[in-house]
Formats: sequence, structure tokens, C-alpha cells
Amino acid sequence: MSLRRKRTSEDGEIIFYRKGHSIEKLAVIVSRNLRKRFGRIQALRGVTFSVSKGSATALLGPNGAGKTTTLKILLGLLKPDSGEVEVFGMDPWRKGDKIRGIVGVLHEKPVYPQWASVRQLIRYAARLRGLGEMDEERAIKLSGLERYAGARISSLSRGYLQRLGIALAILGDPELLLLDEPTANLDPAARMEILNLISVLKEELDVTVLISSHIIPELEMVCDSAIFINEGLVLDQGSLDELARKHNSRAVVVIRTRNPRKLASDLIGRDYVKSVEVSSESVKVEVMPGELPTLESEISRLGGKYGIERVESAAGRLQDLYWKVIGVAR
Amino acid sequence: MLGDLRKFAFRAKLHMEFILARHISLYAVVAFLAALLNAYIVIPSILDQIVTASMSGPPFGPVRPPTPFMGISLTLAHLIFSLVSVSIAASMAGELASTSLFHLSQPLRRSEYSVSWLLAIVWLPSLLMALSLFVPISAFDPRLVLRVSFQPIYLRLVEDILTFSMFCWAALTRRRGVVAFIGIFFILLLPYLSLVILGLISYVFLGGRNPPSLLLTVYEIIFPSTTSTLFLGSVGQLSLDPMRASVGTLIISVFAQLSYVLYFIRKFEVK
Repeated sequence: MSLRRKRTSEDGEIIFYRKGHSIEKLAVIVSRNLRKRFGRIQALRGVTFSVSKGSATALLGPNGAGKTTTLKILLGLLKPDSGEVEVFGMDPWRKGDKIRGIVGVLHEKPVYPQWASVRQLIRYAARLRGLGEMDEERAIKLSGLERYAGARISSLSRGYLQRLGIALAILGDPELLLLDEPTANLDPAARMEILNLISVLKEELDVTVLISSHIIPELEMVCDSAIFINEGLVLDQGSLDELARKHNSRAVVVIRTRNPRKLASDLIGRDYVKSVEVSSESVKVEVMPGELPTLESEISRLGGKYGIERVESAAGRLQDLYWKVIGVAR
Repeated sequence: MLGDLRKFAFRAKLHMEFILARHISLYAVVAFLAALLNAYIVIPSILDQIVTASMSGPPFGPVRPPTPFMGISLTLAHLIFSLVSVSIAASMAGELASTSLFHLSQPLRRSEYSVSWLLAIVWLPSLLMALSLFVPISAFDPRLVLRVSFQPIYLRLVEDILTFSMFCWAALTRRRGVVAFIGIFFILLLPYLSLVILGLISYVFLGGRNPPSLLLTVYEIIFPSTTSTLFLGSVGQLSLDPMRASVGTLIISVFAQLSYVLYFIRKFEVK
């Protein structure tokens, strides 16, 4: 089984990528020293990163950092001034249509033809992908648009426009989802639905996801890796565990259990545990930087003994990382 | 290769259908009304020509030059379908400024996208214009089609194809107002304004002699139909026969359309 591409990254790591292969480290997106200028503004100043297959990666950075420009280059909507970019081994500017056939996208501020109905628009996008009515219906149902399928786009609220964007993005089971602020304008219930949907697509369909958002706690719920970008430069990237270890970031986990006190007294003696807080139904544990995997394996071992029901990652790790990486740069 | 071509045609057609869906019934009504108007003007004129001819020779003799009524009919069709072309070009400018992000985020090539707009702006109005002239005549009596002189219709179509190609370029500014201005300028002002300028050149700099033949040739190539209409009866003053000039018009049209598509493929970015 030959691989189409083989490259050596700057840190010497060998990256292989080809659609459908699951050996070695597969990168579906590879960007090297990407530069883009708009008039006097240098939007990207040498963006280098990769996104591995099956991952859910957060693209984080303040406004004007270059996130949207990067996403548009990945789709072949903008032409980079210099540098290399490949999505599924293809150059987006030259093979954009092929890439967009297997990539679902939700833009930050999408504008749709106002005169069309929801169904008309989804049908048009489905037909361009060679899909049929079943796929249209599935996208409409998954995004919760059944009641508004016949409605004109001009009559939709901002929340439902966002759902329409999601429906268009998930048409035909894409292999990669590029989501720019996917939960913007949604109410809390709809946000949870969308986040669950992203998780389901990632887990069950092995979809690779790249999400740009400002709502860091939400990203933490679905992402396992992150790329930090600021002023057109990638400051750091990697899995959340790697980044936490590297930046001495705190990791806090909430463990729902029937015996919180006993579990707390067991954990407090471990040298990798920094602090423990006990409440009536849960234990909140903060671990030393980079020790989250150790705690996770310990929890799975102790699960039966203490009646552990659920483990939740408390919001804060990604936020903490954000301030450590972006804050230092600023 | 054939599969690629089929896919290209399918997606370009799909996009064209989508962009025209909003106004297609309006364009159909406009084409129908133009056809009715043409029928009202041209058919009696041809019949009159036949009757006159039958009194002075064989009833179905050689094809005659068009009557003034045909000229009116052509001018009306030209104005009506030029407005259709400008309105579609303005839609394109609007789309490039807003919803092109949606369209070009789909598996649609920039070539397919630009060609579908080119077909909608240039070729659809030209086709409708030709049909609005011929369909009512052939519906009345197909033999009457042979009584129509094709040259003025051909020259009008060739001139309009070049003008409509300019509207594609105007749409790339992404401003509806610019498209409307260029549309009005190209349809109503430029053909006559250029002639006034040529006249001024000849009066001021050449003491009333004919303008330089190069300038006149350029004018004839850009406006073959307007030239043949304005110089009807004094074609001898022209430096080129309008039919020969129309070859140049076609070459410039092909160049304008190809360069528009190439620009779109190589340079157009969705901002």
C-alpha cells in the first residue's frame, strides 16, 4: 500500500497523508509557511500547521488573527501569496472543487440567496455534490430544520440560518468539517445540539473537524487538539495534553460518584494531584501539568470501587492554555 | 475527458438554472411580449413587401433588403434584451459581493461558475432576441422567414454579443451601480457619442475631411450594426464592409469572453 505523499516536517517528524489510510500519522491538512496579504494588511505571515485525520482541532486566536483567511485558503476561495497548502493531498486553489466535494464548511458570516427556500438551497447544494433527496432530508432532519424546509431564507432567524449552514456543511457525510463560529447566534439548547452533532460526526463517522470559535468552553467539549494563531502566525499547536504539559497548564476534572468522600481521600495522596474539592455528588480534581492521562487511567481503574458514574472535563484547560499562549504573545 | 466535460456542463447548467430561477418567469414574459411586438411590426411589413413585389415581378423573388419596420423591430429587440442582459449582469455583481461565498464553497469550479454567468449574461439574451424575431414570423408562415434579410439581424446580434461581453467584465466590479452605469453607457451613449467624437475630430483637426480610416475602422468593428444602420445608403463612405467588420467584432467578443473566464479562473478570490 503506497502512500501518495511523504514529507518531513520542520521538527523532523514524518507526516504521511492519504485519504482512507489509517497507518502512521495521517494529516488531512498540511500548511507550510502560508502568506497572504490584503493591500497593506499582512493577514498571514507564514502559517504552518497540520491537522491529523480523525481529530477535532480548535483554531484559536483573537479577532484579526487570520483564522477566517486560513479557512478560506483551505477551501480554495483565496489564493495564498506564497507557501504551500494541501488538503487531502490536493492544492485547494487548483483542485478546489474536488476538495469542496468532500469538505463541509460553515462560514462565520454566511450570506444565502434570500429569495430561495431552505429546501431549494439544500437541493441545489446536494445536486452539485451528486446527492439525492434522501441526503437532503437527512441533512434537514439532523440540523433540526424540518419545520422550516419550505420557508424562505429571508424569513429565517439568525439561529435558523446557522442551522441551515450546518445542514449544508453536513450534506453527504463530508470527510472534513471546517466550522467558523458554528454556535454563534444559537440559543443554549441549540448550541448543545450542534456540539453533540459535531461529536457524533467525529466519533461515529470519523470526520476530521477544524473549528474556529471564540467560545472556548464549547471547544473544549469537542476538541482534542488546538492551533493557536495570532497576527497571522501559528504560535503553537498540538494535542490538548501535549500543550497542557508544555505550557504547565492546569487540568481540572469533575468526577460524579456515589462515594465522593472516599474517592477524594484516595486521590489526595497521589503526587500528581494538586488539589481536591468534595461536594455531595462529585469530586473536583486539579492535576499537575501534563498529568491528565495518569488521572484518567487511574479513574478507569477505580471506577467500580467508588461507583464512578461520569467524568467531565471542567472548563478551564483550553481557556488557561489560550491565555498562556496568546496572552504571552500579546 | 468526456466525463469531465459532462460534469462541467451539468454543474454550469445547475448553477445557471439556480441564478435564473428567481427571474425566469419575468424573462419569459419579456421575450413573449417582444415576440408579439415584432410580429405586429414585421409581419404586415413583409406581407406588404410581397404584395408590392407581386405587382412588379414574381411573388417569391430574390430576398430583399429589410423594410424600415424591420429596423424598428430590431432596435426594440436590441433595447429590450440589452436591459435583460444588464439586469442579469447586475445580479452577478450583487452575487459576487454577497452570496458567491456560498456558491463557491460548493463543489463548483470557478470556470463553471464564470461560464454559467457568461451564458446567462451574453448568450441567453442574444438567443432570446433572435427567437423573438424569428419565432413569430415562422409561426405565422415559415416561408416568410425567407423574406427577411438576415444581414441586419446578424450584425445586430454580433454587436450585442460584444456589448454584453463587456457587462460580464463590469459585473466583476461587484457593484450593481457600476453595471447599470456601464450598461446605459454602452447601449445608449457610446455608439452615438463615439460618432460625435469622430465628427469633432474630423471638423476640428482635419478641416471637415473624413476622419482617419483607422478610427472609422475601429468604430465599424465595435459597432457593425449601428454603422450599417447610420450609413444606410452611403456604405461607400465606410472603410470596411459591415459584414467584414463583423469578423473583427466576433474575434474581439471571443477574446473578451475568454479573457473574462481566464481572469475568473486565475485571479478571482472570494473575500
